[in-house]
Amino acid sequence: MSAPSLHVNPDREIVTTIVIRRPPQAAGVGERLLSGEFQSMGRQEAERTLAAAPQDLEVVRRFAAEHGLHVVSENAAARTMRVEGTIRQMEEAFGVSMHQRRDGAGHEYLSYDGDIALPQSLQDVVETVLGLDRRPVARSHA
Amino acid sequence: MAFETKIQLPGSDKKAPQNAQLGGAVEAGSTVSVTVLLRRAGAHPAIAPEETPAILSRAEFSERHGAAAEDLKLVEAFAHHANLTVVDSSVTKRRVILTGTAAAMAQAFGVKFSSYKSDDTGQTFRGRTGAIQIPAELQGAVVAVIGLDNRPVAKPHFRKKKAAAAHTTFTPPQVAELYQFPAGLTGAGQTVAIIELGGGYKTADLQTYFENLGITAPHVVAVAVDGGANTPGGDADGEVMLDIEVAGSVAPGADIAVYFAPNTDQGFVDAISDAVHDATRKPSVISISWGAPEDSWTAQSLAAMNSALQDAATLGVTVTAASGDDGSTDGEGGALHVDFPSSSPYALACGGTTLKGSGSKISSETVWNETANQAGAGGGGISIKFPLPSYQQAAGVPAQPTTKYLGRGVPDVAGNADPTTGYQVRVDGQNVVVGGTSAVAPLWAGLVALLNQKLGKPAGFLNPTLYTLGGTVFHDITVGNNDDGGLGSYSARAGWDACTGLGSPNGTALLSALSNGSSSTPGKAPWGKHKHKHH
Repeated sequence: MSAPSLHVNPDREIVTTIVIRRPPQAAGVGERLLSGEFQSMGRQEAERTLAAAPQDLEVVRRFAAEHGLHVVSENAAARTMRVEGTIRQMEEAFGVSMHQRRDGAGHEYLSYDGDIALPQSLQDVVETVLGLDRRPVARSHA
Repeated sequence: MAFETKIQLPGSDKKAPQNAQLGGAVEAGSTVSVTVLLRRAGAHPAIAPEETPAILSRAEFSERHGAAAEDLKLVEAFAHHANLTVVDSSVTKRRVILTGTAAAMAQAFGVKFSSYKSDDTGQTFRGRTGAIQIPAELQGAVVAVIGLDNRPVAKPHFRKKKAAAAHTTFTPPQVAELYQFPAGLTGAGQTVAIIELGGGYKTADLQTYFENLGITAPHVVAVAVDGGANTPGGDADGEVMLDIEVAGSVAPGADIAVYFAPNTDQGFVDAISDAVHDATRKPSVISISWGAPEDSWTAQSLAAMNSALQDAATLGVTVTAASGDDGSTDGEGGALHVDFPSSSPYALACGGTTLKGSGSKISSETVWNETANQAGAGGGGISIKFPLPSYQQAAGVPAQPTTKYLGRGVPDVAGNADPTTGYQVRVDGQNVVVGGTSAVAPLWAGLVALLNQKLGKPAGFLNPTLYTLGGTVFHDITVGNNDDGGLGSYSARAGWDACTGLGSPNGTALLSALSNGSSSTPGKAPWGKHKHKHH
């Protein structure tokens, strides 16, 4: 990509979404769905099946606290935790170097170089972190 | 003085319509809606079909394929000079939609209108002869002006009665009638979630629209995700209004919750997630009309989105997703691409057709392909990111032509999407006609709301069931192709195809099939394998 990198204010506060792995009881649900074994589980059973394991949530909470990130919201059923912190804190927590990028249309967005680096304790627990890269992803089909 | 010198728009010469009787003059004050198409700002991509497609960010796509911002501004300035209203202006779509009186349009584009009556249908339409004149300042920038000729005059009040003659464009309930949506249902008790990554709606516009259709307006609420908000006045209003008006007019008894999120992977994933897990509103169906070519997504974004869609399916929430408006290349010229999230195996991928008919009788339905007019084609093809799901095993989905990958086939189903046979909607105070697979996702979402009302429980993840249903549940579309890049793919055929999937719905038959639980063995399709190869 040819977009130039621009400096970002390290004290700017942002919210990122940490996505936690599926719990053991959710294994194989995808394939069962695709084969038509069931059309849905029923909301309550599905939420029990899909919800993040309590110990996984605790690991992520501890990680956030250690890095000064404030937990804005938790959704165990959705397996997400939204955490707030400064750019500097995010860089330190996730091992990335962040900057603003300007695309060809003049639109500026937050981005980072390289890969997110998570500590050992988090590598299996966290599937991904969203919100460190904010490039536009979609267009409307109207 | 600006815009005084006029030149002829190349290729715009039109002769008098055939098979039509010249009627009187066209009413000077009647409303005309036109689409001004602009040249690409950048150079054409020189990607040979056998090369790996370049991964374009949305911004790069816009830069390479979109119009130049200066060209757009010039068209808008000309519109203001000529007493025309700018309804929609899009760099990515390289178009500006304008409305104005017939008199203003005639003067602006140097044409003379006449009224004609079709010998075939008896329908009155507006025609012009000769070439279109455009200001010299726009030379080269404007590629085409569509809509001065051969379109029904847009009336301020939509007719809700059935017309005897065939319609060119439709209100959403007229499309629902052609697709035999089950009668006596409104979607009461259901909530339809709509995901939007930009734009907004004005309640006054919605009220006027539904009032004109003679429908009690549904209850619509905006939900903010990650700092998103209902922000009308921008480029994406057309999308938002189309989604609400299509879903809302075919299922007016359902509540509508519009989740506004920023156009980022975080926004998109969080919006789906928030809708799926919304304990207050509990939507049973989510409509998504936003997407991008599969290979423009990072691996992590693709995985996170697909995971959210899998959870939706597990929780019993149907997710409809538009398959794209740029044919089998999905707008990245020179190679085949499908659009995501419609390529997720957990989404109900909705493709596009050109629908003609009247009342409840379809007279013809073919694959949407207006690439000759630079007016789009239905997205479809074979995924190179997701493998063929079990439920498509017997549908005869071919391997992806370039990579030979045995991927998920797109779309699953289809509906009217051609802008020339498009949907009469209201956007930012103007009555316009809009098409795109964007309309098909909320159309199917509205249908699912009706089904859910009658079934008494959510239909949930429908895909496996749909592929077992035969008989009258789908209108199989067998004519046309979505080849927008001259690559020879894909063509419609009997049974599933990469243009229209299983076909457009017969809603009544679908409800009947779901009520009876009349699916056969999961994964077994009624059509079986095809002997000849398709691309």
